[in-house]
Amino acid sequence: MLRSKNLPLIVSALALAAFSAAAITTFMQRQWSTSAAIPAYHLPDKAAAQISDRTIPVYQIGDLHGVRLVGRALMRDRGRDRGHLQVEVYPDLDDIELIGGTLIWMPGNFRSIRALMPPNVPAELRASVQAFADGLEDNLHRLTDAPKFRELYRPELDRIIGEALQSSLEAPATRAALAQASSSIGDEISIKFFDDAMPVILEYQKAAFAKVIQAGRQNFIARLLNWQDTLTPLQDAFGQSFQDPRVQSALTAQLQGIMTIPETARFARVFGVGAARRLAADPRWPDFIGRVANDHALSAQVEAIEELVAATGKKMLLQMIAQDTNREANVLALNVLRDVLLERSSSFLLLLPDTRRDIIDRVDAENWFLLTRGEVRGEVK
Amino acid sequence: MTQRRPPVTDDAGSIPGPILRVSNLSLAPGAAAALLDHTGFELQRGEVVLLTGPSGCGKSTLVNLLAGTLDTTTPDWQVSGTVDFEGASHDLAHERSKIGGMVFQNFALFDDLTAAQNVEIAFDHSGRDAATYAEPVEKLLQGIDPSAAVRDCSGGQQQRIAIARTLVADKSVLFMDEPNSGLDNAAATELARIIRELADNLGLAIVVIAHHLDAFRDIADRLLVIDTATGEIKDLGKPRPAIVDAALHALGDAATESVDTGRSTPRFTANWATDTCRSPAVWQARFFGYYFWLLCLSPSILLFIGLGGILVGFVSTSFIFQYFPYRDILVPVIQNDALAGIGYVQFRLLIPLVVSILIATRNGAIISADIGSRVYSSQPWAMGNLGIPYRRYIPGNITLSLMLGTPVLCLAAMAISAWFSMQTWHAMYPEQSAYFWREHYFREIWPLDHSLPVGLFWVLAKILPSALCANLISIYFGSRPKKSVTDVNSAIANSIIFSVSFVFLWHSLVILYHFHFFARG
Repeated sequence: MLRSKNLPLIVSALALAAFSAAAITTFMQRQWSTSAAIPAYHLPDKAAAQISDRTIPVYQIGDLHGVRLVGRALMRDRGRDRGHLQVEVYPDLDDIELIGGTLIWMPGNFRSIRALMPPNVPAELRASVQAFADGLEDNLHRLTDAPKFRELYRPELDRIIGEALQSSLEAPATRAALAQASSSIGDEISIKFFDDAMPVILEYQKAAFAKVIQAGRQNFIARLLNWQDTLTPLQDAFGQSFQDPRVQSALTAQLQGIMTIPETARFARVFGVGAARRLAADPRWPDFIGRVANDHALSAQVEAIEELVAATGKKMLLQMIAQDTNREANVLALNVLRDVLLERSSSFLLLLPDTRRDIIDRVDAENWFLLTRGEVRGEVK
Repeated sequence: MTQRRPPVTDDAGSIPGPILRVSNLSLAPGAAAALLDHTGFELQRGEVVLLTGPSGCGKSTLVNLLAGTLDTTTPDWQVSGTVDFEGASHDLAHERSKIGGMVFQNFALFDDLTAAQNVEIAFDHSGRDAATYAEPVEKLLQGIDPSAAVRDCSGGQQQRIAIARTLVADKSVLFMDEPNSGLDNAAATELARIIRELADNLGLAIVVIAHHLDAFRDIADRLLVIDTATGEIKDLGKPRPAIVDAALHALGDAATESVDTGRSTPRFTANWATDTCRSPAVWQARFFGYYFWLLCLSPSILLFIGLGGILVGFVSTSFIFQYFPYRDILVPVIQNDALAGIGYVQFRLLIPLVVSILIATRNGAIISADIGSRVYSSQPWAMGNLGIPYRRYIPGNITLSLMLGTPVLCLAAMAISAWFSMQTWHAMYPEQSAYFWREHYFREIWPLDHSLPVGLFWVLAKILPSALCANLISIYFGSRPKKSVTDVNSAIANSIIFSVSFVFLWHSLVILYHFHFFARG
């Protein structure tokens, strides 16, 4: 029996048994589905073409938008199940109804997140964006109005903007649009007129752009996100330039209606968009912004902007990832966001109970696929 | 007193020549003055010869030289002379003498073996028939429990085990280095009777080194005395009382230590007494099993490895998830990759390093202590004298055990580390499935379509050379000459320091090499 002579042997045997148990419950169970039911699902070719990972997460969405990770799907690449998704739910989650629910495949992108958001969240996000835009405009205004900025950085900012405008004006596309606009205006308006009037027009455009950049107008951020709207002040400036006596002296009274001509409007659009793109791509921005951000004389204004960005970013992130229930993090939204930020192509399966089939109606038709079950190996619970 | 057997004669009835003749022998420790200077002696079959002289005169050195058990590395002995033994002549200046069986002063018993096994191992390597020695060995070992550990035997019992062990090695000459040291008068007298019987019944020539000559005076045929003044071995003939008294007077009295003479114990019935020699493979397996158990399977090493795995599994998982900023937001985002990273770090870096360090410290200490104590108690020389392959049985099996056991221990640590990592994570996020942990923890290190873990080569490239070199370092320090227990302790400390330093260095080199040349991007 338990004689002291045998005690070391017994202790070692127990220790080895413990090690073996640890190995079995970890190493051996990394493939937990080998002996369990393995339903295989057919995936449409269009969806299969978008799958880059061999393993796809499976989420279950419940009532009140609660989302949790409940398993994985393996893309079979050999054997009779080739091209099928083998869905494996975690065995220790005992309330997963794989068979009774609807399984859909969705790509990991913003549209999927938006579709799965609770109904109130898009409105909250829009409000956050508007509040951020307003706050940012005020803070940028304070920054660009600061004496130090005006003295040290404003000339450089003007130079960057001016060069972008000049470059856009000289671009072949702009010149072509200009030619179309001039020809549509009529023979009586010659290219020479534009050559005479353009320096004045350019002066007005430059001023308008500067206003845009220093956020002197509302909705600047929204316009940054939508360049169509950005054209409005430029078009306005274009009209104002024609009020200038120097331009007017070059115009006859019948040319007052020139801005109503579609080709002229198109020229303004091509010119404005080209200038904005060149401005955004200017390699001097990082250095310029870096110097402004590190300028002690502007630290108060810069910190205010940083705080605004951080607070708004956190607020919007929480709004996007929050679940209705207990405001817990939506692991699905978080993981999709992560993959989007890391530029990783991803997708996921969503297990919908019958009570939540309404989600399907909110998803773009091209953005999801209903999975149909193929052959099932083993006995499905 | 035992009935004396007449001197052994040849077929013609004449007295044969000496079994051993040492002539023109000089022995000097390095550049120091010679202990023996162009001297010699002879031994006849069935003869018991006492060898005595002042302490440090070279008695033990002389018999160790002849038996081949002299450590000639420290000091660098200067030896010359000739030995004629059983018809062959050996030049001691160029050859190592390996004549006779040696009974060491400190017995040099194998303390990891039982009393019976100490005798059996010598017999199994002698290649001779056991029947010749059955009776004398049983007499020698009467009262000794065969299954007793030798450390539990008294001094007298250990002495008799040592004699029996040397006897069954089937040597025609026995050297006994102060066999009565530590024995009381009764035990010493009994020992003298046994020695006389061995010489008479088996025809052995026995040289007994002794300071206390009284017990052997009646059984000895001759008395040899080393004259320190001239470096001569003087043959004083039959040790008559007057001669012995004179010799004792010259040597002075030495203290004796009383030990018991053996209590009533089971009859000694070792395997060798009835069986033929067993294959050395049996002993190979026995020593391998002993060291594999000691180094790789005993509770302390498993506890050591288990605690290391627990620590790595708990700390690396707990701290990463516990101290993450914005946990509520970031943990769901990063935990897939964090678990994969934890698995990678544990499997590829931390566990191999921790296991290597634990093995280097724990087993390095044990190896250097084991070998150091063997060296300190002359066991390697005793094994060599008995024809037992010391290098194969001891350092060889230690190395083999470690090479086979280290991957197993590493795997065990990985398993326990993974399990504790899983439990730690599950305790922090009880709402999540433990299978989520399994899915991502093994994602990088053991993908589903791999039958073996990825990067197994690099793990083995770290742990096996670490274990091998730590083992060799420990064997080196353990094998260096030991004159005291302090030397053994120093060997243990040095082996730990150098082994662990090597482990750190080797793992750093492999990691740098691996990640610089193979794992970029």
